[in-house]
Amino acid sequence: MKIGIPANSNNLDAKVDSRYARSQYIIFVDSETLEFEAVNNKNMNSQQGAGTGMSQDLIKGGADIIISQNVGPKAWEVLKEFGIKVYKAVDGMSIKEALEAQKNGKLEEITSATEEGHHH
Amino acid sequence: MKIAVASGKGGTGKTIISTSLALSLATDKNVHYFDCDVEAPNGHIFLKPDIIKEEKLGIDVPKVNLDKCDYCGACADACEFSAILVARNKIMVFNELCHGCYACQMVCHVDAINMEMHSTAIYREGNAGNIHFVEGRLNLGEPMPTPIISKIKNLLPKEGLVIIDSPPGNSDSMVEAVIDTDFVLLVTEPTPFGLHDLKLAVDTVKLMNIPMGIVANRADLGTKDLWDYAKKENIPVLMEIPFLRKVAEGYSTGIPLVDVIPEYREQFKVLYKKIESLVSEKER
Amino acid sequence: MKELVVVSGKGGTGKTTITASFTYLAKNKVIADCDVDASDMHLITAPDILNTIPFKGRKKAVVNEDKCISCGKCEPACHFDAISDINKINPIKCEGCGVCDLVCPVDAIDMVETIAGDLHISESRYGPMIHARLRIGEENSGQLVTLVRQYAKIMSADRKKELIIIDGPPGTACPTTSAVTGTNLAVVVTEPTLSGLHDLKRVTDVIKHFRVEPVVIVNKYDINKNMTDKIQEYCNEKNIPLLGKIPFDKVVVEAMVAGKSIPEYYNGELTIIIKEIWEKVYKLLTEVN
Repeated sequence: MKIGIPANSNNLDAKVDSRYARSQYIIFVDSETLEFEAVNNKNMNSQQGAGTGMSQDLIKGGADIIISQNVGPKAWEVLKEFGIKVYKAVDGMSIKEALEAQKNGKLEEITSATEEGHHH
Repeated sequence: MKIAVASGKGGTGKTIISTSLALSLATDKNVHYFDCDVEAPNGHIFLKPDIIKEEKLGIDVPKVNLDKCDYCGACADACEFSAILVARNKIMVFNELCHGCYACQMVCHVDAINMEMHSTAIYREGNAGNIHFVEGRLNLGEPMPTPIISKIKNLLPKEGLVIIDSPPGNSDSMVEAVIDTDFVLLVTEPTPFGLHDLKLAVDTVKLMNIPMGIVANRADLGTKDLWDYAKKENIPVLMEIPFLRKVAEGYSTGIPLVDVIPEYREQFKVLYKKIESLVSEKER
Repeated sequence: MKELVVVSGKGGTGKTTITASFTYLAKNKVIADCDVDASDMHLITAPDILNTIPFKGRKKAVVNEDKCISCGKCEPACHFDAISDINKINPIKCEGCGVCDLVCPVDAIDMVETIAGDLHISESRYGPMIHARLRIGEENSGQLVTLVRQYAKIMSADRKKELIIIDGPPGTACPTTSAVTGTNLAVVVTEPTLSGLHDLKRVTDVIKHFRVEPVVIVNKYDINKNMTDKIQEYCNEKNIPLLGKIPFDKVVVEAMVAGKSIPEYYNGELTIIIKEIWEKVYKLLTEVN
């Protein structure tokens, strides 16, 4: 399946970014073949709507699940609405490590927003 | 005549001046006071109006008729503010990002979008003696003051004397409050921070080509630089108020300047006359 | 690395004066001036700008006069009254929604990228500083605040600084929430007035919503000791530490005129009080998670 991940650089050795919407890159990787694509995250510098924009980009990019350290409430609403599960990466994990951990069922599923929202 | 009271820097005394001006003039004429500082409207603290009307205000946002929607995504593509997401046969609208531009409705080819008001603010209207009081109050957490200021300004009377309390600062919300008025009164303090921020406000008002004047509050606490700047820019300093502890104390409990020192009412009437003549000078 | 933000709710309470004092007293820090609508810290720190980065704003609509046929379709379509005289677009009112571009039958409208602000990376006698200026009339969404903080984090990692001190914006809207989110401690500088107390309540609610610890300083407290007591009561009720009370003193303006923060300017009463407050703030920062 296709996994979407916010990353701080454009390859699988990159760390899973500590933020959700403000990472420099989004990496889409096939969990079986490990073929991947890194795209520039245009939400990084956007005016409002970075969180929902990030969710939009992940969904449009075809992600079946997401691995992230954090997810804000608006972004979470979107993922929930589209039925896309999010798994929590540990701070400092590289994407390779996160994929391995996710495959082995070692990553916790995120079931509610981890960050505070920007709007009440 | 529409007079906007603004300030580059917050806390210089904008609301003291705008409410004092209203109270002083209201002794012999009808005055409209429009509090457009919608993120923190404080005029009511000093004017203490009887509120007779309260209504919700907001922005028109898209409501999608799911029976008609074919998830083509044209609305999401047309939206510059990422307020609509269409993917995998689902559609989501993010009201807090919507600017109410109607682009989505325009491009929808199956007529599936209706625009409906999403409330983001409260409008209050009332009276305090001869003062007709109007206030916009943005709900806590709402990100966009400017559309609310615009809606309130659409309610301005065509004639009569209106005093508009503008948001502080120089962003688009201040511009919305000040634009299309006849005169801008800039309230400042002659400190380095005050002067620095005043210059930004002056540059902003110049863009709108509206005549302006300065009120120097706590005029004895600072330097002469403000007056040198005003002279160089040909902007009149129309009034100076020294720091007066009892005025500060009165302010802290909601007592307007002109109630603490009634002699100032005359000064505000004089201020108004000066503004009137500057405005008619500009018109010639 | 920890982040401290100083906010006020109401403008004019003395926030930047306090922040400047803290940045003088803190030894190992990066300064982030996030009051992007009306930034004043540089008037004290006198930074040398090393690099300026443009901050992109919304697109604005521009009419291509060669293509325009003056059909008048765009003017009524604009919901922001930005178009008048058939085809004159006022850039101040334009929100960049692109509706005029959609209705134009001859594609005579271009949506053009704009610069909404300028971010500066600087050095000062107070240490490295990131500051920014939103250009006049631009939308104040908080995004430039976020960018200043991002650069401050990069700077502090680069230079191995233990602390980022953020001069936050006034108010309680998006720019303030962007300055508060993810910080370790938020100092609220308030004044003993009705508007001050009202805005104190709003801003402490916002801070707590973002799971940050607020602490309070009452500035000019002796202007109204009753109101100061009310503030103390409110803080007690909400379990918010009130770290100190600073009396009104004209030395604040004297120091500002001299281009110095208060502890840099003199050793008198206000400096002693501010130093005591700073000790408490610093201690809380070392204790907080």
